[in-house]
Amino acid sequence: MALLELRAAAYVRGGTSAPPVTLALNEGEKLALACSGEAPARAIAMMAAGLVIPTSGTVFVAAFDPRIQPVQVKRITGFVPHEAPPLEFSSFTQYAEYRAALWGLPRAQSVVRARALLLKLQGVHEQFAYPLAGALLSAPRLLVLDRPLAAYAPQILRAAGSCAIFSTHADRQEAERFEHACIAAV
Amino acid sequence: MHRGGLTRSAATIAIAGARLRRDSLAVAVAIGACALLGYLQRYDEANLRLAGAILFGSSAAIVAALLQRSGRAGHLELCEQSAPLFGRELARARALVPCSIATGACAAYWLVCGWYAPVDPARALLTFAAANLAGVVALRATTETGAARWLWLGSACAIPPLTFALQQTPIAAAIGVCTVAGFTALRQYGEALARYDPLDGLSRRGRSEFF
Repeated sequence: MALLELRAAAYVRGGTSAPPVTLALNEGEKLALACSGEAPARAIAMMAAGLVIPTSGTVFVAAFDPRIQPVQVKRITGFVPHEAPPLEFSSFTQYAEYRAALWGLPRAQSVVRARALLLKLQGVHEQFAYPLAGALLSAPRLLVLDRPLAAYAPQILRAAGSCAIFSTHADRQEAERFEHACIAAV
Repeated sequence: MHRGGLTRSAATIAIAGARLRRDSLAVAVAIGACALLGYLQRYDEANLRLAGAILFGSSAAIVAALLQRSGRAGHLELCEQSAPLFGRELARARALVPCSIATGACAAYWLVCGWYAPVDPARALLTFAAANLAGVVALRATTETGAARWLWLGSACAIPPLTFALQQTPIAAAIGVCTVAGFTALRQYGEALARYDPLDGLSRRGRSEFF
């Protein structure tokens, strides 16, 4: 069974619509998906992370269905958004402690791990590095990235380690650029 | 690496703490305003003071609840949504914010009043129950749109006069009714959060809605 499986998963609600997507991603694999725009890329990434329920089709993360087992899915995945809103924390340590509390992780160990992750993300802007380090704090099996910059691919791969990475991109060029950057970094 | 049972209370405290820190100005204003109103009403008759405390405490709770609306908390909200928490756990943590503010505001009111004239503890307790109930009901409005949102907000605004009318019955019964209604509203809020679509909140962030 694939770690991430989308079976004709589509999202159409309000002003956002993402066409049906079918794909499978196994443990440790990397996949950059080209979407037809920014809104579909965001919707598909959120569906893969179990944050949004598809309006048609199905999503499985390690055989868990986010419709009925959202908590199990969220334990397996880490999601990093494209938009980097300002963090409401005065320090990175405070942010790491907050994430650790939400995921039920030991506080002191998590702060040490978060700092180690941040070191691997040197050169990445802190507005992307902080949420990425936060998402990797719980050692997810699947990392979902919404429109990451290709320039950050080496650092993302270094920090994610053996974790499977699924990224969505607004167009084919962006997806190819990210994939090439990943290949070059390996 | 997960710690199981300990997760829940730590997550609740983390969520409520982070939101209260973000809304610290609102906390200070609510508590300060209710203390001032308590001072202004210090020599009023007991019924007038009860009405004032219920009205001001509930107003503080409703405003605090509306400050928790979707699309306003940015990254905090995304962290909460992506955390492995059930809707009811998230609801409990978020509800702690308006409830803490409402409790603080009512406590400030009665402390100031009590400095000048004796306070009936049962009536003070009714104030806390009414304000907390108004806060939890108003929270439900933040997950809805359109008419449903106004309906929940209207229900929250109707709580102060209804509670004041309930004081004609034994106070313990009135407090009991508020408590049961509060738990029911909290459960409703939890179910709404479990069904909540974060993309909807994100799309609302840019709009110039009042709440």
